[in-house]
Amino acid sequence: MERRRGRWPALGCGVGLRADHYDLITREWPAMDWFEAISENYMDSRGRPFHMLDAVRHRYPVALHGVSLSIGSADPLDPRYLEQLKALVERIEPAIVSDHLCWTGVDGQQLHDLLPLPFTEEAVAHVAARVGQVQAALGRPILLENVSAYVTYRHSTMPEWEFLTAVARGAGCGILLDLNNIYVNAVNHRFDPLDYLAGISGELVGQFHLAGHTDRGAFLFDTHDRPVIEPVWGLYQEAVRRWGPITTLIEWDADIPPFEHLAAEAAQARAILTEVQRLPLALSVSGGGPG
Amino acid sequence: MTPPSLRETQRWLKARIVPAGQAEGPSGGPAAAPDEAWLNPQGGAPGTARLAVYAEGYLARIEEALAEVYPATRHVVGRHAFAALARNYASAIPSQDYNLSRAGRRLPEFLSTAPLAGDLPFLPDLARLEWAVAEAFHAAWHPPLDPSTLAALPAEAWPRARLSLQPAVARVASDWPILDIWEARERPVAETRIALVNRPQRVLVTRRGVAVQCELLDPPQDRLLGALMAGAPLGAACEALAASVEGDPPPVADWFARWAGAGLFTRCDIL
Ligand SMILES: [Fe+2]
Repeated sequence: MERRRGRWPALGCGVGLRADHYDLITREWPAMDWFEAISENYMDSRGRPFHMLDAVRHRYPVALHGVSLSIGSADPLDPRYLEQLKALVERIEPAIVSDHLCWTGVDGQQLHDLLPLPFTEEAVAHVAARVGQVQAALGRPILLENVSAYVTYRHSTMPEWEFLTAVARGAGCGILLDLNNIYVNAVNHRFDPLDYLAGISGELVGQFHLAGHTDRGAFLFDTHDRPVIEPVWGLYQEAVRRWGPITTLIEWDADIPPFEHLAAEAAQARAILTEVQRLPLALSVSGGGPG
Repeated sequence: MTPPSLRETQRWLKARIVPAGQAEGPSGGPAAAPDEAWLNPQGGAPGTARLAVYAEGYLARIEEALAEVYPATRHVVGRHAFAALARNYASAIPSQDYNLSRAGRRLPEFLSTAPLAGDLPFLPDLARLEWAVAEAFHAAWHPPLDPSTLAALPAEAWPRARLSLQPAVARVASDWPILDIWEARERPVAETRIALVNRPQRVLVTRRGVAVQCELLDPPQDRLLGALMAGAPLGAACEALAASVEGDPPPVADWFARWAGAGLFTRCDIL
C-alpha cells in the first residue's frame, strides 16, 4: 500500500549509534530496527569509527545525520564537506541522509552549534537553492530537521512551521520532525505545539526525533541527555495518529545510558507506532485521506 | 529600517557567541544595536541571558573537543587549568574546520606561546604527540606489504628500493620524555614520578588493528624512518645513517624485519 508520506522508507524505531555501545553492538548484535550515525563522526575517519559503522551497516539499516552542513549559512557550501559526505553515503548506502535547518558558522568561522535562522522569505530562498545543490551533489533527497532555539528574531515574518514547510516545498527535500524541539520551542517562544503540527504536511515528514531536555527555569534547554518527557510522548502520539508510522529515532547525545535503556525507549515508541497502525484512522490516513 | 540581511544577522549572532578576543571590532551599523533590537521579547528571560546559552555552549564544545584529543595534557595541567586553557584557546584561535573533533588542531602551536609552557616546557611536544595519536586513530590502514617481499629483494635492488609507509604512521621527537608522560595519563599524578631533565624521547606513532600504539625510537631508527618518510631510497637513507653513527653499524636489517612485520610498509618501488 502506497503511504501518504510517499518516498521515505519506513524503518520503525531506532537509536543513535554511539561509541560507548560499539563493543556491545558488535558482540551481541542486539535486536534494533535501525541506527542513526552522526555523519561527521565517520566521514573523516578511516579508523575504528568507520569500521564500526561499516560492520553495523551490514546488519541494520542506517541513517546518516549531519550536524555541520550549515545549509543556512551566508557562506558558500563547503565543497570538501560535500565530497566527504558523498563518499560516506556511497560507501554506507544509508536509508536516510539528514541535517538541520540552521547555520553553524559564517565568514569562514565554525561555531559548532545549530544556530537559528530568521524566518524570512530571503532565508527560504537561500536555503532552498542550497538544498538543491546538496541533493544534486549527493544524487538523492535529504531531510532537514527543525532545531531548538533560545531566541527568535524580530525580523522573522512567519511562524517556524511555515518556514520549515516553505523550505521543504521550495527545495524538494523532506522534513525530519523533532518533536522534542517543537516542545522546547513552544515553551521558549510561547506557541501551542499542536499549531505547529497542524502547520506541517505529513507527506513531507520522513522521520521523527524524540529526545529529552533540561528545564533551566526561564527556558528549556535542549540537551538530549535524559528520557523523553510525557508531553513529548503525547505530541508523538498525536503526530503518528495524524500521519502514520513514520521512521522514529530516540536521540541521546550526552550522558548516554546503557544500550538497554535506549532500546527500552525505542520499544516504547515502537508500541505507539504499532498501536496506531491498528487503528482504523491510521488506515484512512495511509489511504490518502485528510490528515 | 530595512530588515538585516542573512549575513548581517549571522555576523551579529556570531559576535555574541565567540569570546571577546576574536569578535570583530566595533563595526557600527546593525551589530552595534542592543540585543533587544534584534530579538523578540520573551517571558522573563532577557535576550542577553538567552544568548549566553550559545556563548557557553561554544566554550563547552571547544573544551570537550580538546579534552577528547588531549587527555595527557589535561592530566598534567589539571582539570581547572585545562578549562582555562580551552577558554583562552577558544578566544585566540577561530575554529575553521567543520568537524568539531579537529577544533584542537592548533593547540600545540598555541601552547608554545602559552604561559603554562613556562612551567611545563614539554607541553607543546606532548600535545603534538597527542594530535599525532588522534590523526593515527582516524587514518586509513592499507593492506601492508608482505614481509617476505622485502626479504626476497635481491641485494643489488636494495639501494634503489623506495618504501611507502602507512598514512597512520608518524614520528614525534622531543627534548623531553613525552612518551613516559603520555603513558602516565591515567595514573594519579601524586603517584607519578618522571625524571624530565636530559631525557629526550623520539616516538613512533602507529596502529595495531584499530588501536593506536606509541613506542620509543632510538635516534638512528628515528633518522632512518624520517629519511624513508621523506621519500629517500634505501641506499641513500642507509648511507646517511651510517655517516651519522659511530662504532658498530646499527642492525638495520632487524629493524626492517620488525617494521615490515608490524605492517608499517605499504609498497616497495624499485627506482
Ligand atoms: Fe533532533
